[in-house]
Amino acid sequence: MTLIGLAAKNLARHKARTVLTVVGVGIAAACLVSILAFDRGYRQALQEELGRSGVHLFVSTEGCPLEAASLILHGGEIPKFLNMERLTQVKAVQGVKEAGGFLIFSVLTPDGSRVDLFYGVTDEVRTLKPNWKVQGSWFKDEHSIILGAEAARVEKRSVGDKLYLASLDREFEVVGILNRTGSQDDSFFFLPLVTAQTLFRKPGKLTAIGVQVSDLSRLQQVKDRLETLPDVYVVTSEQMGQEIMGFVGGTKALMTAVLLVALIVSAVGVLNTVLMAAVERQAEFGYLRCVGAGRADVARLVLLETLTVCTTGGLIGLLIGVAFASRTEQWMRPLLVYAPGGPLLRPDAGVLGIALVAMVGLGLLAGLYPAWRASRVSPMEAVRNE
Amino acid sequence: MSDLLELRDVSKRYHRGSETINALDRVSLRLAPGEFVAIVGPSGSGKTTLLHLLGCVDCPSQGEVLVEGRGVGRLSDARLTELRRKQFGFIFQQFYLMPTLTALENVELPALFARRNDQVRERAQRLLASVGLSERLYHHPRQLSGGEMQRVAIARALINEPKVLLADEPTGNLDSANARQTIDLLKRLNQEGLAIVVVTHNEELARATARVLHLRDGHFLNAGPAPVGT
Repeated sequence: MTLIGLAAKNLARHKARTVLTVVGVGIAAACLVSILAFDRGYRQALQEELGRSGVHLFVSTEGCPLEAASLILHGGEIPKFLNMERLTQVKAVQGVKEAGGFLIFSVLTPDGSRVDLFYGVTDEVRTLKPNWKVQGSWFKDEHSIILGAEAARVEKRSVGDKLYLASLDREFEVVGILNRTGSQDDSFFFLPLVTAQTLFRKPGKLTAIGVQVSDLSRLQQVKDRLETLPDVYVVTSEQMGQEIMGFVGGTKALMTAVLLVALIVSAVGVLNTVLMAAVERQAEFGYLRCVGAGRADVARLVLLETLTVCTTGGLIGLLIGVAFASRTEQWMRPLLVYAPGGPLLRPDAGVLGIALVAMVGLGLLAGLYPAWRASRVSPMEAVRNE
Repeated sequence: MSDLLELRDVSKRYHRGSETINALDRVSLRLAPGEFVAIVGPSGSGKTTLLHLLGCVDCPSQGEVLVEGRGVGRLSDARLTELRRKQFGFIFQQFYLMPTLTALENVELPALFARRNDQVRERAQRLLASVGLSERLYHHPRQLSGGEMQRVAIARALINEPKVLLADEPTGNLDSANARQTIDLLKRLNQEGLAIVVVTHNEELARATARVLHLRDGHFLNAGPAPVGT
């Protein structure tokens, strides 16, 4: 007979009540795991994506970096453009290895059901996005179009198919389809830059320029040089990452609020269950005090019961959090302003450890009052019931 | 031989609203090792209060309780707990068996709090065998009769090898056959040297003891302090 064995058997007295409390703790633990895993996973995925992209600096029209980040990565649209000559000037800056221009437009489909995003790109984009794998070929002429994997799926097109876009009243030949990247690129329509400039009546204009530097250790010097060009704003990929993290700040705040509610509900549930059990068993605690249990023994017994509930619920929650990580990610992706490629939820050992410690801490906190109350029961409680 | 327990001029008062109830009024009692004492009297006479004071479960409003010659009035809660653990075994009318524990585990329970690891299981098995329950070791309380539950409670009260067994209406919830068994068991334990104090309405049990103290309205009718060694 051990104290932990006694605690477990006490919990078995009211199976339904115990199971419901464990489920409550499990749900809170699963939420905690998901949010911690998202916090870690999103940051890592973004860093990996920016690192993979090969673009070290983004040059856009003068404005806030938030606009630049939105434009280049998410496909937003602002009515400000760079002149093509700026691309030539950027390429000529010392330390610039490669630079490619983008013209980005969003067009509402005629039925109003969705917005299609068009990227006018130059050949240099193949250097700037080394993770791109194109099935088929690169642009052959001004009628060529390359589709992101998701765009191809939605349009039900394969390489060699014709694609009539009613929103542009123009037919294209699908010369290539990008392998799925897990990034926003999957949903884009890529056109030759000149075609895009003609279609959107912006000849000689660019939305932004992506820059790859020769030597990353001289990134700041290159940035400083680029900023001497008139009417440009230059952001590093690191700044871009910070801006994007800012985008998801609202989502994270909402998730944290949900988590807090789940944790509070769970803690109150545990407190209620353990307190109820402690109150119901006053005479029993009194008897234990009669036969030699000290106040600390009774408090320890109640705390062990609480910890057993929270640890069991926590472990179940951890398993649920890990098992449903990919499903949770599927649900979250569409809700995010920008979702980088790669897994967004990464429930690694660190995340699981933090979640388990948090749930055990929650249990200790919730169990303190019932344990204190139980420890105050006098031996008279047993005999008073006689 | 010194007294095992002594109440010296002990009173106990309770307050119920503005009313003061004198449960015990200047009562004295001495209990020698190996004595078997019954406390009888009508309901509300103060029997149970007396037992609680003897067992250091409650404190007197006035007077002194001595265990093996030492006053317990100034002992801390922790020291009182230790004293109860070492000196007393308790038996209650309600049994207080833990419903999720087997008979064997129930008997082992007080040893858990005494931090005793010296063959607790073997002792518990022996005790259950001695009360005739060797076939019921792994039964839960719901699978036992009232008499069997009381015998488990008696075995449990003995696991820490107390010097005194304090029993409050031990036959109160039992039919006559089971009550008879319990009385025989208590007599045997006393013959083996255990001091026993029972509070009872059961005349047969009272007759089985060596000394019967009649209590009425918080006073003993027939006895002051008993001579040591009676």
